[in-house]
Amino acid sequence: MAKKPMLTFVLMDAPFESARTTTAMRLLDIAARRGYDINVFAYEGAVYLPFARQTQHPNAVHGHDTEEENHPLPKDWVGALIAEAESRGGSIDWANCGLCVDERGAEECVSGVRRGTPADLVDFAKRSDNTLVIPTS
Amino acid sequence: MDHYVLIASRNDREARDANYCFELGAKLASKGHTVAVFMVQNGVLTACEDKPELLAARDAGVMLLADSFSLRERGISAARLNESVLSTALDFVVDRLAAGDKVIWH
Repeated sequence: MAKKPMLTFVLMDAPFESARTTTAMRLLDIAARRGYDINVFAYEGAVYLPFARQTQHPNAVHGHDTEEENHPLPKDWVGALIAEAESRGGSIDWANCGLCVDERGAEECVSGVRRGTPADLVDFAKRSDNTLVIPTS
Repeated sequence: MDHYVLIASRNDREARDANYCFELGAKLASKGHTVAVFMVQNGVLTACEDKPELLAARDAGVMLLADSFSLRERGISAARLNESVLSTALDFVVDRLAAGDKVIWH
């Protein structure tokens, strides 16, 4: 049986701002559904992707209440990706850069996300079969 | 020789250096490397045009791919694509990552 790949993704963009976040989540979803072992190193604004205090809101312009608006929250995507990976026999080790977290007060994260350091990125890259850096535009 | 995937996520209306992927791809291919340029997000808008950089990359042997999801998001049908470009699922990028290609996001 072939060795299961381990991939590392490096994310930089803050949520709600860039299509790169959507594409990054799509890549993670594909790898998670394959049962790969995945590492994520989130830094700069990306440390807000799993921020636990994200909340849905109504949209008065559209006349929608909160339930009708059903605004997607990246923290839920992160939680779902971690659950999906585990259900497929894989894993996601998501490390938020601690320096970036402290700068932004983003320490409250969904379950499965841990605080890390740039040394984690080095370790991820060394252990992975490949690494994709998705920089901010 | 190495295998490269260059990810083009912007077009030249939003970023002046957006076509660098095609130029780099052509140079790498001319040196014997295997190269694919994968257009995604607004990068797929280039897939509908006859940009000199796109055509030069094609002529150098670069595989030109456009993310099928990004095309659908923008209402771009396969019929509008440059004939050198193939509509492809994002799975291609994960396939190449797992295979050990050098994947570079621009």
